[in-house]
Amino acid sequence: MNNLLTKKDPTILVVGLHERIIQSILDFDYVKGTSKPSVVGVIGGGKQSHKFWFGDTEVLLPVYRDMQSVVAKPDWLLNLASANSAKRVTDNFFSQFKNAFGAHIFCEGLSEQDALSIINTHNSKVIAGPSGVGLLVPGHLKLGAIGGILGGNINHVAKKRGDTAVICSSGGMVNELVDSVLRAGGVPSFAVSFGGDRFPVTSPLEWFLLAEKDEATRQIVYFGELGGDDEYVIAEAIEKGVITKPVSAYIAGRYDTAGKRVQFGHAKALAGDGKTDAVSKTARLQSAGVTASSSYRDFIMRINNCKFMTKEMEDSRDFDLPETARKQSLFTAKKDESEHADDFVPHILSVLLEKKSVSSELSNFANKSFSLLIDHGVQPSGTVNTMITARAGRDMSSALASAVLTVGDRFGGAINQSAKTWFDAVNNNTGVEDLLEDHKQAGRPVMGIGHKKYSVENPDTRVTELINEAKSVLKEAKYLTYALAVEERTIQKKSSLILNVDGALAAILLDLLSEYEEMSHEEIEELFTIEFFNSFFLIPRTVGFISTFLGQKRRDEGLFRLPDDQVHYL
Amino acid sequence: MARVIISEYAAKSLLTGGAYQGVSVSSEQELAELSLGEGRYVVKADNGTKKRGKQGLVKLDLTREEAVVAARDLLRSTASRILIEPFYLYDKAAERYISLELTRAGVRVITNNQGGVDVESTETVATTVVSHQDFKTRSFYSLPTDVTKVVEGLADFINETGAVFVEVNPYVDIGGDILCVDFAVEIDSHYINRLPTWVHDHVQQNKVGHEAEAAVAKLDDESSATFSLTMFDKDAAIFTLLSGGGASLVTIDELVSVGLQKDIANYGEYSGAPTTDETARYTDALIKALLSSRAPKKALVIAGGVANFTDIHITFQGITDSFTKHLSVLQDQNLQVFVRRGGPNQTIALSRLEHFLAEHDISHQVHGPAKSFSFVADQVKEYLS
Repeated sequence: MNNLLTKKDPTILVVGLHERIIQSILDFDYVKGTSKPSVVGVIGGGKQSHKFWFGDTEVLLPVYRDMQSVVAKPDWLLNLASANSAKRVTDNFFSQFKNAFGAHIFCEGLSEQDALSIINTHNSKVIAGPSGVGLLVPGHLKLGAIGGILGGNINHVAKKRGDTAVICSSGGMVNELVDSVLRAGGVPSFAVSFGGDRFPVTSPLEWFLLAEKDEATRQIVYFGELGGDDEYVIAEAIEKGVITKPVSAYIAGRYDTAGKRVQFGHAKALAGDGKTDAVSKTARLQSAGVTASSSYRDFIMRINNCKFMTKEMEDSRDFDLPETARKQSLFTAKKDESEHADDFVPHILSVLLEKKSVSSELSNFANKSFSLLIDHGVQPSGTVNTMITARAGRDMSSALASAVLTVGDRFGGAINQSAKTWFDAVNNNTGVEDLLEDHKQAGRPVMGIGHKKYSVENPDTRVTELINEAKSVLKEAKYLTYALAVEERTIQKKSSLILNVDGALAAILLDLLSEYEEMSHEEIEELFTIEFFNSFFLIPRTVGFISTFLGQKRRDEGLFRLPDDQVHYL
Repeated sequence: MARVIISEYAAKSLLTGGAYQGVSVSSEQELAELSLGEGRYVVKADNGTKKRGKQGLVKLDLTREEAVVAARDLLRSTASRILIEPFYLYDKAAERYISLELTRAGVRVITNNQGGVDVESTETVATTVVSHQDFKTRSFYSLPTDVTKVVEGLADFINETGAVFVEVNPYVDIGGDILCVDFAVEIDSHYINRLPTWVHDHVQQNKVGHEAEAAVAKLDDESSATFSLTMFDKDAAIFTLLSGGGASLVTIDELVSVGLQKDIANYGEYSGAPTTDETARYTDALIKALLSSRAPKKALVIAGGVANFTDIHITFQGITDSFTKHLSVLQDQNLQVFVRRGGPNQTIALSRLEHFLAEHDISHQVHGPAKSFSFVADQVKEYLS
């Protein structure tokens, strides 16, 4: 916890794709001078990555569907989830990242019950909010919208820490106060808006204690509001000598409602509730020796100390990277850096995997499987479509497109799903019986098992050849072994439930990728998401479709019409 | 989230389920349509007012005819909602007090074995804080045994309704049955939508009932941004159009600090990046209130801090859209507009607003965040004096 405010390049996980807030954090990081963004991932948005600016170049931040998929170990959580899910997100984050420092909870309207539960469960963490704009540590961390978005004071707070802790209930006013500190020639040691709710997770007193412990902090500027009894607790801590650093404070909400219950802006700011009015709380702080002002003007004058911004500071107020310099690209792509530029199959694999080079084991196997899958007779749906389209007088692209459109779960497109099945089963230690039972319960077939034409009696020679080829190179072959164990069980039920070419390819590719390409689980997971495995059918079969098209064009049999005896009327 | 008071009728209905025999009346017509049976009745003002007994807002032991008359009198004088319930005779000495409130450390239970209207003046008060964990598991060992039964019942109620404060003053134990004579409840507004819909009408707004307040409450309901408006004095001179929970307070404070408390017509605030249309609707409500004020000289203060991500240009566009609608009547007012605001797109937003006001001959002073809230307060004071 000691280096909470001083860790040089802390990392942040953001939950909720709020572009402007995230961009403002990257702007801060860029001005600060780090080589990469502090945000290591974003949850939400239903895609793999999202583009942001880092200075004047674009970067892709990884987007995750859930917290379990997050690869990095973030120091902080920026929780931009709604009031209904903010507690769950916070709980999940700290149960997964036990060593993280803390969080900012952004939502307004969190229930008191949820806030109290977070307080009790995560009392060792530093959590700004609920509500407010987060925590800023100049030169280190910008956790939230605090400090504003593009422009504003980013230039002055990005580089180094000063000596004034700014502790503020309000998200809007914390920026005002940071601005005032800067105009007075100072820099905050840290600034936080702890939130306007009745139960801020890290309480105002706890923020005071953090400032007291922090070596860089020499004074505290505090902005509170009517409602609640936090200032009584703080006054007591000062009287007991727990807080010794000088405090300048202001308690807002001095309109006299004459005891009438009036709800002001923030949830805690409720007038007409006993001794929690601004005037009483100001008096209590004063009695503890705090410089508590009875007007905001006096408060600011004390911060300003009659020093004002210099001309140079005024001139450089705006972030020096105007938004117009940022011309967004439409697409991002990776350059082809393959070392196999003159070797077709290895070249294909290196561009598919975005790797400079691939192993000869993978290349040789791909070469074999591409060869075996080029053509498969005239009866499969894709080939039939090619012929019908060609006979209708259409061009090569149309015929190929009509063929490719039939590729899916039932025809050639099951490799990806099959790979996912083998991968999950092996890595979750799912027994063969359990796997089959699960599929039976769910009423769906095991992808990669079963064939319309081939069976135990009439084996698919392509599968036999692929397996033999693989067995000669694989060391452990855990996925293939598993797939064969599944087959052994399913063919006892029905002889057509053999390991089909999709299933065999899937298992062997998984083995090759983990044994020879040394890919991690996360990297392989990504391949499922991007549908990599299905390319092993589409690439060779495209050749087959084109050859079918060329054959039809050579012979040109004329427009096809389904013969009458092929139609059965109901 | 903010705490709101619900009517005693709603509180007792939720507490007892279908067993509650009280009725709630919010208009004379409803009262006329009411048919009470034979019996003795209690009539109470039921709009969140505290210390009703001392103010004569509770009438005890009435016949049904007397109850109807008492209810009509209260409706005509002060109360917007009336509770009529059966009257029970019991021994005054048996009255007890209890309140439960959610606090940071736990649930604070305050008991007093002398209940009734004078509870605050007695010195027999006992305060116990039950930790959140103990409260969840119903471990009330730290409480006097005679109140645990009452606390258990209230704990269930808190659990079911999301109540954050309950006060029964007094309750009496009648042969083992607990009679809650007076029941006051505050609920976390986060949970309001989970309660039966009829309860929504029983949330005490505690406002003067100005039509602008109603319009803003409706807007707040319909929008993902936040809007609030409370009228203090509909005929006062200074109308405020403020943004941000903290900055809105500071703007009001600075007006109070230069001696303008009595001139402030309203408090209100918008935040959470509202759209142009929503800001226009909010401004509409405020301008209507401003136009109906009988103050001879009026000020409209448009102020806020340096916004974090609310686009100033978008919200100011809403303000000028609304001004455009009311232009001719606004020009007839003895009015000056004061502006102080910063945030994304502030330069273009401020200069367009200034240009708009100048073009339409509305006197104005427009400033960015370089000028303080105090500076604006000074200007308003100078203008009004």
